[in-house]
Formats: sequence, structure tokens, C-alpha cells
Amino acid sequence: MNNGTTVELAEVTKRYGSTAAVDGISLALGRGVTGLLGPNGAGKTTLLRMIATVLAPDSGAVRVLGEDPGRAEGRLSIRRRLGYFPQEPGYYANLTAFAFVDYIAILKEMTGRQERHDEVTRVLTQVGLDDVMHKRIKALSGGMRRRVILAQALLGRPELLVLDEPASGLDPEQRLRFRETVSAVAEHHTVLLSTHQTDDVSALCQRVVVMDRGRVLHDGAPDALVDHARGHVWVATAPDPGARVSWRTSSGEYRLIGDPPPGAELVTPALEDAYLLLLGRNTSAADGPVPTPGRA
Amino acid sequence: MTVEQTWHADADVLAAYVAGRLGRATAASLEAHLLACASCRAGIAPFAPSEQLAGNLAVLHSRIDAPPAPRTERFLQRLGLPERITRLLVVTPSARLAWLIAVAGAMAAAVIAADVSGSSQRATFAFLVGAPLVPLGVVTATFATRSDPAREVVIATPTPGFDLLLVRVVAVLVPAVVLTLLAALVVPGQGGEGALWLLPALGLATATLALASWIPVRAVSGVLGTAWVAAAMVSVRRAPRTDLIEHYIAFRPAGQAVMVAITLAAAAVVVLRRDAFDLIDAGRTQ
Repeated sequence: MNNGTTVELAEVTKRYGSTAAVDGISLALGRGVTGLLGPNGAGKTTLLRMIATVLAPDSGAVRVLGEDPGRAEGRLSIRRRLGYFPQEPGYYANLTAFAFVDYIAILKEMTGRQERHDEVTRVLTQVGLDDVMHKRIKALSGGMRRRVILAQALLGRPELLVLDEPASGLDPEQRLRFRETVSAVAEHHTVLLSTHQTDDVSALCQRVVVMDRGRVLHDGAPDALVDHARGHVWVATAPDPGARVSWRTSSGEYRLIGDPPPGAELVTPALEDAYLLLLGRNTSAADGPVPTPGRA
Repeated sequence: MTVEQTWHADADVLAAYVAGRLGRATAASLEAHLLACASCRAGIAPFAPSEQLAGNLAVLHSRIDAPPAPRTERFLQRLGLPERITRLLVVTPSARLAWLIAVAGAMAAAVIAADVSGSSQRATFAFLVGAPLVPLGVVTATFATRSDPAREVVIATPTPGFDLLLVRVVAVLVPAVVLTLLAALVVPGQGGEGALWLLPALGLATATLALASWIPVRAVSGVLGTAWVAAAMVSVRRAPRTDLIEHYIAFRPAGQAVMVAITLAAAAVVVLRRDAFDLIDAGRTQ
């Protein structure tokens, strides 16, 4: 593994029956925030689960923080330095937020009671739950519950933070706070963030990986993905059957993505446009070679 | 009563105090002054690291407001169990479900065993066949993925999944066995035969654990439990009512020896396959 590489995947495949959830993916990730974008069923969660050591690949090599998660010792070493926010985290609803995070801290080998309690308080304060930390989880809102899970992931200042759709259900203020928290961690460590929110990727990520059907469609800087969409986004007063994606905006005009007709009024693309364009092309070419416009 | 102060600390002194650079005597003098001087208290605020103070305040509130551990957890700690085990036992719903099955199963076994008014031999046989199903149910409930909603968070921690499982299984299996043994003892007419279920119970429970490292636990326990009961029914089909126990090989010395062998072999498999309990999908479905 190269210096600075935290997560390295080589030809990793995971199948469920005849479906390849992850299909021969190779990636190398380092410090900072990497965003993982893709539609439902793209394989994002399966990929993150393998990186988080809770799922073994069928084939290929995975190395995380310099260790092999396929070996018990390697897995233990990784888990000591890992923070994980699963897609469907689950809670013990009758516990208070404090007791739940404290329990996870116990499992994370924080044995000194007072130091552990101080760390639990720190992470709950960091996610803005200091006022409600002694309320039962079942009495908290959905956004607060997700912040409880984020708090447990932050325990012990992990070197690798794997977050699977952590921001869904958060209100705008909570989302801003979430971004602050994640960017602070990413200053020194690696954060891998799966999301459906392209604005989170634009705001947080130095790198974006777009997945669909178990494969990587794009791997690079968000700006590189946006560049690829230049000349492919336009506005018009009516929908165009030639557009791959189109929708009516609040101004009453249509925003269209695809191959514009001659004389179309081109506009500057956003990351979301580029993402939709990429997915649209992949859908069109479902049975043929997958285009990889974002790759060098 | 407010006393007008005749002197005020200058900014350098206040900054040195916050930074911990004042000598002990000077710091003590300043602290006494700060208690009485609102002006200096206001003056010290800009030097105080607000983020650190907010953190300290949160810790302070947390220590004051933290509710005591649940009664059950405190009781278990008084018995000498470490906190990581007591918390594990108290918080996880799967453990509570398994406890419930243990108690309900033992009570059911007692009811079966108590039905001695008609045929003592028949009731005892029914008890001996039914009692091993209690630990089997307990192991299955302990293992069940859906009973632990936070399983994916838990499994990604450094505490090995095998250790967690073992603690839970032992914690519920021991009371289940003890309760069922007591059920046999308190009912008249059981005699020494009342413990013949114990080795089959251990064999079934450990075999379930071993096979569950490859196959979903509910399928394993369903097949083994059904096979156990079916074998008992078939073997005593033509046996006289007064000689049922002797006709089921599992309750004869040879059968008991086989159960010991199964228990030991299954325990060895569980240990060898311990890594399989460390992943979310290894041999087990939701």
C-alpha cells in the first residue's frame, strides 16, 4: 500500500445469488472526504460494509489502514481505528442516548469508566445532543437518532470514518452541523461518505466515486465530473424528447440534460446534472460497455 | 451584600491566571477577589477558551445528570461481573428474549413434569423429551439477528462477535438449565431420571451453535428440534407405557455417551469456526 493510502480495493467482487452487488471494483482512498454517489442498488452499501469489515468479499483484495480484514488480527486492528455508521443502524430504543453510546464505547475497549463517560459526552456534544443525552432514544426525533449513531462512530477519534447515508433525515441546520463535524475529522483522517445528496458531495468531498450496478462510473474530483457535463445541460420552454433527463423548474422553464439540439440555451451544469447525465448514459448503455467519462 | 472593591486585576494578570501561569498564592488571592468582584469576573471572560469551557460544562452536566445504571445491571455488578458483560446482558433485546424463553420453557417443563397423576413414566418421558428444547430455543433467540437491532454497529467494534455471542449464550443457557433442573426436582416422582435430558440438551445446543456458523440458526434449530422429538416418538411407538424412557436410546448410557461426544465435537467446531461469528452474513441470515 502506498503512503497515504488508507483503503485499497483490488478487483473486489461480492455477489448475492446471480447478482453482482460489487463487480470487480478497484479503488485507493486516502485522507479527506470521498463521496460515494449512486442510485439505490448501485452497490454502495455492500462496498462500505466490506471496508467496514462486517462483510467479506467473494473475491479480490481489500486492505484497510494497512491491514487485511480477512484475517482476525487485521480485522481487530482495523476495528480499533474505525468509526462506522451503517445504512440501517438500529438502536436500543429504551436506552438513553448516553447509555447507548456508552455501551458502544465499552465494546470499543474504553474500559476506564470516567474517561469513557467524558468521551461519550464529548462526541454527543460534538453532534449537538448535549441537551438531550439523557433522554431515551425512543423519545428523540429521527434526525437526533441519526446523530446518536454519528456520535458513536466518532468515539475515540477514528482514523477511518465510514458513513452510509448519515445525512438522510437531517434538517438543514443539522446538515450544516454534520458537514462541520465531518470536515473536522477529515482534516487528519479518511472519511468515506455514501449519500444521495449531491450538495453534500459538492460541499464536503475532495473526491467523488459514482457507482451503478456494482461498477465505478466515475472516480475523481467533483469538478471533473461537472466539467464532463458542460455543453450537455440547457434550458427550454418545453421538454425535449431527445433529453435523457428533464424537469420543470420553479421558473416554469425546463432544465434538460443530454445532447442538446442546435441553438439550445446552454447553462452551467451543477454536480447533480453531471451525476444524472452519467447515470442516464449508463442506463442507455446497460447491455453494452459502460462509459467512463470521468476517468482519466 | 456587594462590597466595592478597591483594586482590580489587570488584563495580563487575568490572562496569566487563565493560562495557569500564576503562582499558587497569587492565584488563590485572585480567586478570592474574583468571588467578590463582578468587574474582574467580566474581564476574565475574553481570556477563557469558550469551546473548552463549554466542553467542561457538558461533562459536568453529564456527570450530574447521568442516571444510575439499571437495577439489574447494578445487581450483576455486585455479583462481581465486569461492566462490559453486565451492560451487554442488560441492553440487548436478544438477551431479554432468550431469558423470557428460558423462564417460560422451564415453567412449561414443570407443568409437563407435574402431570404425574396419570402415568408417572409417561409424564417423565414427555418432560425429558421436551426439556432439551428449552436450551435450544434459548440459543436460537440469543443468536437471532433481528433481536439485536444495533447488530451492525456492534459487530464493527473491536469486541469479537464470538465473545459477545458466547457471553449471551452462557448467560441465558446456565439459568435455563438450572431452572429446568429445579423444575424436575420440585415435582415428585422424577427421581434420578429427571436429569437424563441434560446431556441431550447440551448436545443439541452446541450442535446448533456449530452448524449456525454455516447455516441460518433458525433452520438448524428447527431441524434438530424436530429430529429430536420425532426420534423420541418413533422409538417409543410400540413400547409399553411403563418402559418409555428405556426405549429411547438417547436416555440409555450409550446414547448419553454419544451426546457427550456430540457436545465436545460441536464445541470444538464452534471454537475453530469462531471467525464466522465476526461477520454479518457468515452462514447466518437475518
